[in-house]
Amino acid sequence: MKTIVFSLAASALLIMPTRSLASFGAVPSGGGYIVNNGANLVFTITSGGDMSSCKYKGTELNDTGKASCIASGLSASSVTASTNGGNVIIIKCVSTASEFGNMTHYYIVQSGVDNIYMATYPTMEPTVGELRYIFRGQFNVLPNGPADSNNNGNTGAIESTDVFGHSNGQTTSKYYGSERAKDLTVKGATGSGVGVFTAFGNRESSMGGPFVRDIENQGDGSGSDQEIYNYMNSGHHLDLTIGGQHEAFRVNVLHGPYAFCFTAGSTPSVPDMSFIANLGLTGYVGTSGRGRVVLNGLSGMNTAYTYYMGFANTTAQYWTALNSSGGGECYNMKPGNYTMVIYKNELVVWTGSVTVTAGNATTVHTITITGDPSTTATIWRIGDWDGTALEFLNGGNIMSMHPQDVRNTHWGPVTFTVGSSSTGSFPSCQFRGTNSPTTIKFNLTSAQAGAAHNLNIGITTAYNNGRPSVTINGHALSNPGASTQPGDRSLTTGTYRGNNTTFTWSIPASDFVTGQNTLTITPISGSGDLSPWLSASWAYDCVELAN
Amino acid sequence: MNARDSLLLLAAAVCVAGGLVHFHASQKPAAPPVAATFLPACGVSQTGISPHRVAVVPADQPVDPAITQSRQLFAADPDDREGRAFALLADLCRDGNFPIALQLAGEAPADLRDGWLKFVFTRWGGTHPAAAMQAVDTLTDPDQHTAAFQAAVSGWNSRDPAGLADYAHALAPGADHDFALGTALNNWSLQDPAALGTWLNNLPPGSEFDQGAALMLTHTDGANRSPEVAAKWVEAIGDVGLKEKSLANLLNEWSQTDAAAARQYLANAAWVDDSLRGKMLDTLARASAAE
Repeated sequence: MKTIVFSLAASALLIMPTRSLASFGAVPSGGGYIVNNGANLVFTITSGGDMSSCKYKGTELNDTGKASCIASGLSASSVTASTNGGNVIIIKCVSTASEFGNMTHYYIVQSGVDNIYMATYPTMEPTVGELRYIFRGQFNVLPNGPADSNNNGNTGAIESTDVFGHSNGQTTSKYYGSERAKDLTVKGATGSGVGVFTAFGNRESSMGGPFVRDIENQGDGSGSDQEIYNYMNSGHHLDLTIGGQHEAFRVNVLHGPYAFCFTAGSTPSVPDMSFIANLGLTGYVGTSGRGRVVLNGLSGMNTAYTYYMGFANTTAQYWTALNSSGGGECYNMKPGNYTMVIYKNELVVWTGSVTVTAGNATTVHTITITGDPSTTATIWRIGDWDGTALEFLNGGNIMSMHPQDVRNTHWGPVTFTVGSSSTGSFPSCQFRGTNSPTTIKFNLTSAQAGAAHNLNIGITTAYNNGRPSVTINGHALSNPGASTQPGDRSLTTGTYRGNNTTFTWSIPASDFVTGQNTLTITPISGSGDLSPWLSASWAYDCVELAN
Repeated sequence: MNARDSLLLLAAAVCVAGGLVHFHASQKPAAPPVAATFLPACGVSQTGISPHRVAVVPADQPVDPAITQSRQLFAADPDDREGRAFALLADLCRDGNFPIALQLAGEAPADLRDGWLKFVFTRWGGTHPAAAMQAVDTLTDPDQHTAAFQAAVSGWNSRDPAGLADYAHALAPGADHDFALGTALNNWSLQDPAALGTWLNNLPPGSEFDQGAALMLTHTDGANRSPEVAAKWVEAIGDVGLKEKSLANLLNEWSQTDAAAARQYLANAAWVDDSLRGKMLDTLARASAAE
C-alpha cells in the first residue's frame, strides 16, 4: 500500500500535490484538513476531528455553528491524512480525551464518489454512555426528513425534552420511525437538489440484536438542524439480555464501516464498502479472517412466521433470516464461540451455542424448536407468542408516535370477552396511569372449572418495574416480581422491544366458576409514576389460559 | 455405545421401569400414567444394544404403532423435510407417551436426534418431571445426559419452579445442582417471590440461601415487600460480596421513595462497618445527583 502521511505539523502540502484543490485531494487547514472528493463534495475536518463544513455542489449543508461529530465532539489530539492507491483519502482522528479513553475515528473518501465513509474504534464506552455519529445538517437546506421525527412546527415538548406535540394532536420525536437493526439500510433527508443519507453499514459491533431500534433522525425545525444519525450503541433501548447473556457495550472492536451518502435528492442504494478492507484500519477484520455458519433447517416451524438465527458474544453480533424450511447461512462472522438463538419473529424459541473458525463453514444440523410457547394447549389465547405486541390495539403505532397521539384508538380501559372480542381490541400496552385494569371475561365448562389452570401473561418490555397484578373472580393472585428490562423509557419512545418475559400463575379450581369468569390485570410497581403514560407499564406479547 | 443406541436403550429401560418412579423431592410430581400403559408395546431395534440390556425387552414384543408409522415416514422422507415425523413426535409428547416419543427420537436421523431428544425431555420435564429425571439418570453418555437434564429442567421450570427448587436442593453439589437451582430460583423469584421467601426461610444458612435472597431482592420492590423487610433479607445474606451488592440495590431502590429512611437505616445498621457505610453513602449521593 502506498501511503503518504502528513502530520499536523506538516506544511500546507496537498495529499495529491499534482492536482488543484478543485479536484480530488486534502489540504491541511487549521490543524485539520479540507477534503475535496473530486466530485461534488468539499468538507472540513477540524483539528478536533469533527466535520465543521460539508458542501455539496457548493451549498453548505452543515450547521454553521455546530459541527458534525462523534458524541458532542471528538476532541482529537491527532488528525492525520493519508492516501491509498491514489484514489482514496483517509483522515484518521485519535482522541485521548478522558471521555473517550483512546478512540480512533476515520473519515474516508473515494475519488469521484459522493460518500464520506466512516469507522470508529473505541477502547472504552464513551462516558456519555452512547456511541453515535451525528451529521448536523441545516434544516432549511434539508427540510424533508422522516415525518415521524420531524419536530418542525411543534407546540412544545409533551414528555421530557424530546417528545413533541403538534397543534393537530399528533406527536413527533427523534425516537419515532426507526427501523429494527436487521432492517437498517439508508435513511436521511432531502432538500432542493440535495439529499444526505446515513448508510448504517456493519452492525456487528453494535448491541441489542436484530430487533432493537435507536434514533436515526431528528428534524429540529426551521432555522435549526436536520440531524442524521448513526447510533452504534446507546442505553436508549439496547440494554437487553440475549440468549440468557446480558449484552454489554462492545469496545476494542471496529464499529462500521458506515457512510454518509450525498445525492441530488434521490435515495441511494447501500454503497459498496469493500474497498475499505485494504486500508489498514485498526480493528478491521478481513474476509479471510472470518467464518460462517450454515443451518440445515428447523423442525417445528410455524410457517406463518419468519424465523431468524442470531449470534452474540462479547465482541460481535450477527443475524440472518431463515428460509421457509428453516435453513440459512450467516456470513462474515468473526471467529469465536457464540450464543446462538433461533427467533420466531422476535421471540427466542431455541438457544444453543456454536463455534466459528476463520475460513470455514460451521454446519448446524436441523434444529428442533423446543421453546415455542404456542404449542401449549389452551382454553383461550389472546394474540400469539412472537415477541411483539403488533397484533393488539395500537400495537402498530408504538414505533411511530406517543401513546397520547390522536391517531391512536382510545386506549380504554378495555373489557375483552373471549370468543367475541377481536384480538385487535386488546390493548398492546398496559399503563397503570391510563388504561387499567384490563378485564377479560371468559366462559368455562364445569369440567374446565373443576381443574386448576395456568394463566400465562407474556410481555415484551416493561417500564418502571411494571408487572401484572391479577384477580380472578375477585380473588387476588400472588404478585410477581419485576422482570429485568432496559432502564430507559420504551413505550413512549418508539419501542416495545425489551426482554421477553412470561408471568405464570397456577390458578386453583376453587377460583374458577362454571360459566362466565372475570379476570382483571393491573400494573403494580414499587415506584411512583411520573405521568399517566410514564407509569408502571408493559407491552403484551400474549395472554392465555392453559388447558 | 453410540448416542442412538443409548437412546434406544433408555427408551427400553424407561418402558420396563414403568411406573416404578421414586422421587425424593418434597413435592412429588405425578408419575406419567402412560409409562405402564405403554410398557407392553415398547419394542426397540436390537441393533447395537449390548446383550445384557437387550434382555430387558423381550424380543417378541410388538412394535408400537407409532414407531411403525415413524419408520414408514422416515423411509419416505429420510430427513423429515415435510415434518410429519416430528409432528408425530409432538403428538406423542402432547399425549404423554414419552417413552415412545423417546424411542422415536432415538430412531431419528443423526442430524435430528439431539434436537428431538431435547424436545422430548423439555416436554416430559414440563408435565411429568419425576419420570423425566428418572429417565435422564439412566443416560450414561455425559453430553447426552447434560443435554437431556437441562432440557428437562427447562421444561420443569416453565411449569413448576417451586418443585424444581425442591428437587435441585436435594441434588448432590455439582453442575447439575447449580444449574437446576439457579434456573429455578431465577424464575421463582419472578413468578412468586412470596412463596420463594417462605421456602428460603426454611433453608439453613449457606450459598443456596444467599443466592435466593439476592435474587429476591433484585426481583422485588415495594409492590411485594417493604424496604424494612428487604433489609432483613440483606442482613441474613452470608456471602460478603452478595451482601454488599444487595445492600447497594436496596438503598438505591429505597432512596427513590424515601431517601431519608434509607440514610437512617444505613446510619443505624450495626452490621455495616465504616468503610462500607462510606462507600454506600457515596453511592447514594451519586444516585441523588443523577436525578
